[in-house]
Amino acid sequence: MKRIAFTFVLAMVFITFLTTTALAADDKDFIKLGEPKDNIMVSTDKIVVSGETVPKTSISILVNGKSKEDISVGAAGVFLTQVPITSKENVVTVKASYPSGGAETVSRRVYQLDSDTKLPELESLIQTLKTFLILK
Amino acid sequence: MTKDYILGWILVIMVSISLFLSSVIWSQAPFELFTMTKYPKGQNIQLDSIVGPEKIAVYMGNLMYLGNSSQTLLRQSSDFYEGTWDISKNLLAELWTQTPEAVEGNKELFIHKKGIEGFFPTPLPAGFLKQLLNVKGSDMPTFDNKHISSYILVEDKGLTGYVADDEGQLYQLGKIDNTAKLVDLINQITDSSPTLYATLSAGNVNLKASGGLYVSLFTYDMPVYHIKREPLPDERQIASFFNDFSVARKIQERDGAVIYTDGQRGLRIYPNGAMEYSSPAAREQKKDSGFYEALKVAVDFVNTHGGWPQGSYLYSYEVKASQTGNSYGFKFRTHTNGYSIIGADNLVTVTVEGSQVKNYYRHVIASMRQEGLLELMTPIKALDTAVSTKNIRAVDDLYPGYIIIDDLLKPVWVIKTRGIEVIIQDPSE
Repeated sequence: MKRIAFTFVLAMVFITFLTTTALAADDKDFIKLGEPKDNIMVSTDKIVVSGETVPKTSISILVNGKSKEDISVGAAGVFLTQVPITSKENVVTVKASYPSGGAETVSRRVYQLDSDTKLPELESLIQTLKTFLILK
Repeated sequence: MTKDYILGWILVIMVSISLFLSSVIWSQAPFELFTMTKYPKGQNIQLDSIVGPEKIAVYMGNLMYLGNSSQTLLRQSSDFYEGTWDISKNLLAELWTQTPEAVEGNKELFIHKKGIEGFFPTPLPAGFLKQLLNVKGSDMPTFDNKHISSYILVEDKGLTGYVADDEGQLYQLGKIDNTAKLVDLINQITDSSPTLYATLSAGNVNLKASGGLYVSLFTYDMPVYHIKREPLPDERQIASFFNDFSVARKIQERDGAVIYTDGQRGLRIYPNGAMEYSSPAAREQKKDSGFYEALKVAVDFVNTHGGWPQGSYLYSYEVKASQTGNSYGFKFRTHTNGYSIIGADNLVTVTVEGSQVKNYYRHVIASMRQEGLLELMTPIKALDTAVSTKNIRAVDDLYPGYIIIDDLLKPVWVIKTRGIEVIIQDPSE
């Protein structure tokens, strides 16, 4: 009987530990940038910046170090905006300041092509990008 | 020239100025009267206009590459909608020459190519779709039972067609070399500088949006309308429900409703203008008419009993097996400006059994007049409101719609979660 009771208590402690760990993991600060993808080429003068993070996070978006937009993230934890780009090569930086006090920065590189440049097919686009990176 | 003569002329001039100014003011006022027009009785209602896509996503390929936002949405109010749906029907019929094959793949692969994707308001039986598109060959009874929720036409080293079922499985239809029709259409749409839409997806602990939500990056300014209900039906309309109206009795209910019955059929007219008709179930075994025929019977019945309200479409249906054959329950909604009017306040339902209408309910708008514009909150704020006030954690779709509040047709956000539509209103209102 004692052995059964001991096993039961041990199982309960184990389950409680697992639940607490799972909850702690859920509460962890994070930022996931959906757009823009890294190293993309665009023919427009604006790009979409979207993603998801912890609710009540403050998001600052910078393009080549210049602040473009600040967003306060709501209860859904998603954000979406568009920011202008003017250079051929742009580093889009998204700074997340979490309500916990922590902060995190994510950067993406975006290449702007002339609007009259006819973009090649996706496969050759990847090839062009690879060549570009190798040359760099 | 007498004093009265001068005063008379001054009066005429003053009245003329007054009339001129009034006409200027009225001509510039944003009030516009729309009548929810009905097709003339006897005119054949095309089923393809009733089951057409509620939205068509147009992927513009690399022409306007903006991350995942190189796409626009066509709704029924769009100038390109009808042409796109017509081309879609022709191309689908042309491509659907073989039994569709299940393929592994993600729809995201297509959005960087030129293509279109039409989303049906409700998943349609594949057999019905084939009949609608006049697809010949490709006889495969097991596939006919699939429910098709969308179709994709994409330029991919030729023109390839796919259909997706209600579980998200893609099926390839076939391939043709000639892409001109599709490419020309997409180029035309691209040249018109359409509003771009971003695809928003989320999979974190706060919110799950698995399917990808289409949201515009611009403000949603939508008209608010003042509406008028259909008037109570006249005797001629009421008589059309009965074989011999002379034997029908009229019963006045305490709540103001009026019932007409000939002992078998019954017609209840509610004080708010809604009407409900029921006919007895068939006693003998009847041959199942099939989905296509049942829908045609339902649409023709609505057309001849009150008129077919323009902009109405098949919103949902239910097929029930009964002793006398299958029973088909159809729900029709109306859209205005390409956006659906949500809720039971504007609805037509028809139940068909053995090629006969067993139940019919109708409560629709007769006319509407624009009262002004309302700027909806951003789609992101709508999601925030859904999470914070309704505790919604999973979103299947997010779209603007209309609801009826008293005599007003008001735009709102609608979130589809687990098959249920939830209205999201601005908390500040």
